[in-house]
Amino acid sequence: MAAIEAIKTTRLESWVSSITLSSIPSSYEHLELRVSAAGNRASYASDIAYLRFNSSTTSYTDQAMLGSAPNSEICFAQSSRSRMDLYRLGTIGVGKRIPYGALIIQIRDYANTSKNTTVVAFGGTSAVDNTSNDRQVSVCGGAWHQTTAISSIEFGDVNGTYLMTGSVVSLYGIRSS
Amino acid sequence: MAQPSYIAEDGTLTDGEAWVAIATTDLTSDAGSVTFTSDSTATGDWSQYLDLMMICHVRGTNASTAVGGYLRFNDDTGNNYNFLLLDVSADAPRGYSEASHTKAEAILAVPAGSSTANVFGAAVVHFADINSGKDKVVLIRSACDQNNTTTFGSGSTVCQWRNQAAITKILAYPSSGNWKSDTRFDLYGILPRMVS
Repeated sequence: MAAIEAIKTTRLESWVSSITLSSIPSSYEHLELRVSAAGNRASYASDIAYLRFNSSTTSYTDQAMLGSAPNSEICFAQSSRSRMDLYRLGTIGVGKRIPYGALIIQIRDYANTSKNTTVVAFGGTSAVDNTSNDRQVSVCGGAWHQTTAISSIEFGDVNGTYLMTGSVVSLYGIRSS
Repeated sequence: MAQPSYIAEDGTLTDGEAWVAIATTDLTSDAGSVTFTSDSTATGDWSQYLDLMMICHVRGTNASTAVGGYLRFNDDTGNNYNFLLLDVSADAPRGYSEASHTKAEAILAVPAGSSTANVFGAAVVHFADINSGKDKVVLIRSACDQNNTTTFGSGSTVCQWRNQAAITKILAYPSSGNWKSDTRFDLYGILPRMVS
């Protein structure tokens, strides 16, 4: 049995509003999403991704991030959110080349019904056309204050309305020994 | 490409281990650089992978407390690399970026000749969507205690290679001097889901 198994890979061949990974089996210990994606936010070279679990729109989520804009540091925390925001996506917003963002997202012990679910993520993007605006690398995470096992994950773009063609989201399951 | 393990004898496609060990370089003497290249073997052909991941345990020989770890792809020496980092110096964070470089200044806090003996820095490098037609993005986490001084201890980096070619070659080298003996790089390929 594979220790790390690819559960589902979605590569977009057209613009979509979000990607939903459903019917996630509970047989793994942890989940990991590997993302290379961009949205259609206008006038900015980067955007924010979000996760939503089990289609829930209730404010069960807290989140925090520590990141670097081109030459400064930023950090903040938010609570009682209806989704979990993670940084960074690329966008089609400026320039001629879409700077796809990369994200590695780990969802810990997602099927344990005695724990709320914890997420840690690492992501970033670099600007189009060598401008310095909107580049960012971030370490972020959050908690989904529900003990329900996660069986579906919606991945989308916070400020845009679509994820761009060529975006790819791949979900992996990590087994215990 | 030789037949990979996820293709059964009868030609059936299977989903086995998603992470595939491609290659390891464990230096037995000091070396100026380490190179990994895609080939035509069952695991060494990078065209089958979604991402690559490289685990690094590194030290430089330069007579300084620390050096940087640089990456270059497909022998591209043009001004096609951007990078942006967040690191910690003493008790303060620092954000910093540069653009249009000839290499990706990727791995932070690599101990070197003036660091405490036998200390090596650790880094994990994620190469995203390496076979796509996108400019390539690389995420790096690195950390080290060089000798309990105020030099950088940990950091996160995003690098962009402004080239839409598939990554087929990775060169890793220190900013000054050589990689010290016992420096180690392990390269893994990450497969997508192949069976619906």
